[in-house]
Amino acid sequence: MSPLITIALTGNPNSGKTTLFNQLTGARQHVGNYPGVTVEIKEGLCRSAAGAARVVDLPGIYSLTSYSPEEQVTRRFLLGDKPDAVVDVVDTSNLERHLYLAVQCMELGLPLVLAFNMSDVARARGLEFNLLRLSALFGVPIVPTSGTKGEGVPDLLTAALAVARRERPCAPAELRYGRDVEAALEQIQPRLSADGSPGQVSRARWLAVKLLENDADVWKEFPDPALRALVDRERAQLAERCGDTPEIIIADRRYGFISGACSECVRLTVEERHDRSDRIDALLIHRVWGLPIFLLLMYAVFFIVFKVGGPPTEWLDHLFATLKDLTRGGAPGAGSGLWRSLLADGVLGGVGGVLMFLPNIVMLFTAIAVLEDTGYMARAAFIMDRLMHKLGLHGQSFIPLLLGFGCSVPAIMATRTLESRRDRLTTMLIIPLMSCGARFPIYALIIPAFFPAAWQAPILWLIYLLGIVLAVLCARVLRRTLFRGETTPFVMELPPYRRPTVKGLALHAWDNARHFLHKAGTVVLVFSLVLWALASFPRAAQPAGGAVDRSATAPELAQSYAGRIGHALEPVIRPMGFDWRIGTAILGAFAAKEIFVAQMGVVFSVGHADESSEPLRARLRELYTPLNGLCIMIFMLIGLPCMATVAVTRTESGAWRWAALQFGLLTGLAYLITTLVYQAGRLAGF
Amino acid sequence: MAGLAGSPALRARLVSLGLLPGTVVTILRRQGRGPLVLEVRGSRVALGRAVARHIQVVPAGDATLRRT
Ligand SMILES: Nc1nc2c(ncn2[C@@H]2O[C@H](COP(=O)(O)OP(=O)(O)OP(=O)(O)O)[C@@H](O)[C@H]2O)c(=O)[nH]1
Ligand SMILES: [Mg+2]
Repeated sequence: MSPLITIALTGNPNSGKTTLFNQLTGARQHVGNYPGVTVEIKEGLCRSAAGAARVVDLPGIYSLTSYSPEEQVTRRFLLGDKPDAVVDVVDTSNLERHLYLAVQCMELGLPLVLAFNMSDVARARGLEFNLLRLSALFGVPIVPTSGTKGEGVPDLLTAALAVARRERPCAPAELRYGRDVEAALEQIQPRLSADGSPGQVSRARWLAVKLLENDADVWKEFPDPALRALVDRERAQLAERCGDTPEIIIADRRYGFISGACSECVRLTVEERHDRSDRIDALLIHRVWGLPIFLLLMYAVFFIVFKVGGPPTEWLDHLFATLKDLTRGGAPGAGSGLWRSLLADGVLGGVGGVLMFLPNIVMLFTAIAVLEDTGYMARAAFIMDRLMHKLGLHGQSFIPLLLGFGCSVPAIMATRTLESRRDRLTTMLIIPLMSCGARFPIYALIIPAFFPAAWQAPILWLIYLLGIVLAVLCARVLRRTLFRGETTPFVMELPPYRRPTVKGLALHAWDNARHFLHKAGTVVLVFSLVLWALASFPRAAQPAGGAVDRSATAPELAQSYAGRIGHALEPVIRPMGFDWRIGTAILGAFAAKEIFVAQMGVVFSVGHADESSEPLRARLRELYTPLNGLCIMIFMLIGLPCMATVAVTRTESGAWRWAALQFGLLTGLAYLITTLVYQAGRLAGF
Repeated sequence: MAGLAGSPALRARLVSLGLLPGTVVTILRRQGRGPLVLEVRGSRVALGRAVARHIQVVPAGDATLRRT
């Protein structure tokens, strides 16, 4: 059997590569309507009647230069791994710009197939293409596709396989760069090819072009000073003769070729200049209204998540309470009491306490998916650029920050789109201040326990805003101290607005719900059981015969291991108004933030095993004041980034010290602010 | 659009987005001293002020340079 064929998907950001990848492989990689969604190389297997292939999804790039990390990753893959076929995914509703990369792939002599994606959009706009002629001009097969509708995907696979097997001719046209550049190339080229074989010649031509463009990566291959002198001379000559740098002259020829091809082969049947996106933008990125609208949208999101997600959460709460009573009920058998307590207090009290927030979580992630899929994400970055600029970051940093509302881990990975390392580290360190979905259960538990209904949504919104404000302040401090330096330029494409599909949103919500359930079933469960054990042992002296004591009362709980640990912590956390119960819960929250809720559930469940399962909130209300509640939320918002966050910060930054700095900085800050709030609140008489 | 300055990396990025001398661009949105949005070859590109400073434009007929 021949080895498996590799097909690489490349193309500009946001052209629909991942959508096609998912169609081809049946995978469910993340898709979103803004540039820079995919930051890692992803692989999948594609099987069909036409044959099997390994499909590789690459980060989107605008060009094959080697300035940005994505470009380097993609270029190294295309050149180094030598895929059998390269599919360049092109957005046909924006053909000229997208063909620029296609032309560069042609120059490289890659076994290329062009996927004319978003053909549905192009059709709706009244664009018509003469594909036969375009295909002849470029010398590569072209297949019209629609990633979202799945149209043309089998044809694309057939074409790519044919090219990979060399069954279909693929002879990318050779671009001419005009007399002056060609003369320079003729000087340089002979120095680069050892022999005169055809493959060598075309490669030498590409290398020569890249050297003329002063490509740092290619220079590394040729550290020859004589060559350098020759190229520098040619570059200077070209600049003098043509009045511009060689890079621009060459780019100009590429665009010239594309414009020529397009004017010959593209026909616009409907004249419509200002499309819908421009009209929406007139409002959403308005210089005055843009920011208020953003804040309002954010408020609306939290309002919906809280209000609409509220009732189902209540039902789940009651369901778990009933289950708990059922488990506890019945005659207390000698050996079974402990098991019952484990089930009722450990599993139902802990995991159930987290699971009941599933409706909220699903809604939160659906809301984020709407932001991502409509194209608003990039607009939010634009709106915030002015503010971010003052902080020494640029608007693009805002996209990872917004993603942080979902989960810090993918958000930290998304910082790869930031070109400067200083920007990237700064953004990475402050991302945990964006309140992630895992922290939501904490607020959802505490806010209704202490605050009247009318205040609930505003308080939630304020907590999130506090996170943003602190993030912004920390960014400023970091840029003034550790990461001093010039701000990098902000250049970002604004995607057209798109209507999110129900299927896309549902998939997104389901993926996150599954992740949440998985976490509840693994790490939360384990920690709930651990805490249950810590809270249940050592048991107070028991009457002979092993009758199980079902009325472990609060003082007894205080004697348990959990109680002792909590008490040991108390002097430290006292200034924030936390008692030993909260202390134990905080410890667990390092593993995952939801665990805080689970731990509270376990502690209160064990401590009140004699009563019927009153909702946890009522218990909290008995013991704590609203000020305590607020302080818990503030501390959990700012401090203790979870284990997964610390780990991903370590890998993405490449050093433990950044992860340690993040952890220390945020926890210290949390301690400081919570103490201030608590003490001030106390003085004010709350 | 008449000229392009800035570091090689910035120039390369702008060129790959279709911004090079001789291109017709439309200013779609301009925010005081904040970033602006250009239309270039059918796509919308947001540029920070610091970047926009490196781009020289000359009016090309009437309809192409709109101020907002
Ligand atoms: N109408 C339409 N929309 C599409 C089509 N293909 C993709 N999209 C949408 O285009 C957006 C971008 O799709 P992605 O697959 O994430 O793009 P990508 O090329 O992987 O982007 P990066 O990972 O950022 O480089 C998403 O909102 C998709 O739903 C298509 O054929 N038609
Ligand atoms: Mg992608």
